[in-house]
Amino acid sequence: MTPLSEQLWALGERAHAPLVVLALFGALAIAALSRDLMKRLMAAMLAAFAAVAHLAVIGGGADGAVALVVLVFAAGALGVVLALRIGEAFGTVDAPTLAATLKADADADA
Amino acid sequence: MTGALAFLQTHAATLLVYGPLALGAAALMLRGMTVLVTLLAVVALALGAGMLALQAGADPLGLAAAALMAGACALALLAAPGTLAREFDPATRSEALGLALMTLGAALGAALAQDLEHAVAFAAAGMIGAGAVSAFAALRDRAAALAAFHTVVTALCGLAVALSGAGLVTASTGADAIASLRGAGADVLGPVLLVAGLSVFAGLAPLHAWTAENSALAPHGVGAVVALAGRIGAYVVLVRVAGALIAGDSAVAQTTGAALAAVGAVSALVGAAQALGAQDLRRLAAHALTAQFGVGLISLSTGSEDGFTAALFAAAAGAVTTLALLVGATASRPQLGVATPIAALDGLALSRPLIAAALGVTAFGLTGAPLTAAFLGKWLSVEAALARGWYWAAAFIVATSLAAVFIAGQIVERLYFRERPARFGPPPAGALVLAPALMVSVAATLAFGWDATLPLDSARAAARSLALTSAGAAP
Repeated sequence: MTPLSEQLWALGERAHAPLVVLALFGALAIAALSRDLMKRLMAAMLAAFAAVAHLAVIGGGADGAVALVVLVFAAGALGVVLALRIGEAFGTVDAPTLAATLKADADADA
Repeated sequence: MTGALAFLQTHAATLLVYGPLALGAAALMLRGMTVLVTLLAVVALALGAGMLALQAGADPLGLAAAALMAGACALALLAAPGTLAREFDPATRSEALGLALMTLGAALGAALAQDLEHAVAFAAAGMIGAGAVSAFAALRDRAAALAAFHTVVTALCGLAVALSGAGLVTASTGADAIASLRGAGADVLGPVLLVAGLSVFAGLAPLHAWTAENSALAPHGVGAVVALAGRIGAYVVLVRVAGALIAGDSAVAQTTGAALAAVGAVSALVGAAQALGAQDLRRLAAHALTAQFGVGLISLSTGSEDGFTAALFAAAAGAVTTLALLVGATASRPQLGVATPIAALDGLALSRPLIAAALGVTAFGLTGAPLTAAFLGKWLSVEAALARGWYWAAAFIVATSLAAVFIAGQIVERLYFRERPARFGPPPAGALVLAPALMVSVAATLAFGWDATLPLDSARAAARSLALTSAGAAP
């Protein structure tokens, strides 16, 4: 490592904990509370990326982090496709409206 | 010949994980070869399971669990050519099979993983894959897209929490290998986050809503089996990791034990209550498994060898019961739609008497009645709880059995004393392909209820390997 990269790495090690806590728990809170499905997905992806970064930094290397990033991207791509499909099928991606529509569907079936 | 066998035995774990992954990729590329790919997958899984069963490794729990899972998946896949044709359009059949096989590979990988990072990644991939396979049902029921979406988002959140926990545990203990965790370290946040994240993948309460939704709307056959395999793989990871962390009297061990007991108690009660109220057969099966896993975690949290054994035995019996219920749902499903209302069981004894009899046995298995495999698991769980003086835990376990009695009564009453609603149409034809999985599930429920020496010895060997980890824990 060059001195600069060493300094950056040390800075990352010192700064990552508060950043990860903010990103992780903030993103999880947004994922839990957001009405918009797309926002939920993006927040969940952000939380997952924060956790991958945390693992890579705390573990002292990036072994496996690339595979985890690919996994998160794959899940995100699947989520986007599904959100688009939900938008087409239900006409909205608003969670409370979707819940009401599903309940109406179930009542109609019963 | 001996050399080939030795080679296969040495690389059985690789065959079980990468065989389905490679065959899944082949199914995605070689469209229209679904029958051939399915047969190759059955051979790979059966061969891998057999070789793994003969293998004496340092991780008997992972090996035994993976061997059992692979054997069950091989049986379930025998029905795949028939169910694939019924459940999927010709255009999507290969993709569905490919994703299902890859997800099975991930679930088996989770059970066999030796380090935290791989275990968490494989468990998450299993859950995401289950969501992806369920998404194919969206072509027939728009609610399935929503169920799949919720599964994917919950998996990402679970991955975030579990990875954060894994990072903290690794930093605290200085070890990434599961076998080396041994309850060491001073940081209690890591184990709590790790248990919470893995609980999400295993479908444990309170973050278990995805599993019922996903199970109820997954395509019948491979879709349902894949979701079940993913949950079992994650549960095995949870037992292995928590079993290592719970060792000794350290703060980490005590915190992990408390977290397990809390998740177990909530899962047992909530799962049993929701199974009681479920109006969909596969939703009922998912909640019943959540309750079984909960009982297993309560037993595990006692920290005794009996508790470990009970955790494994209860979960294995629960998995067998769930597989039988899923197969029963496929055999009784209505002609239209993806969901299987519990009313689809009405009058099944008239049209499919053997399947109805098998489901009747399964229902008794759910209760943990004597002469069924689940009995011993429940008995050991209660014993382990009472030995620790945890009367509340024993009460929780008995309460789940009482709830299961009501559920079993409801199932039997529907099978034998009602008429099938005309709007469902007759039960689907071609139930014969489901016979192997159903027969083995029922035979295991009865045979191991009569003489449980073999599974009990395996469970005790696996429990002892965890107990050895305990013995090696830092004071």
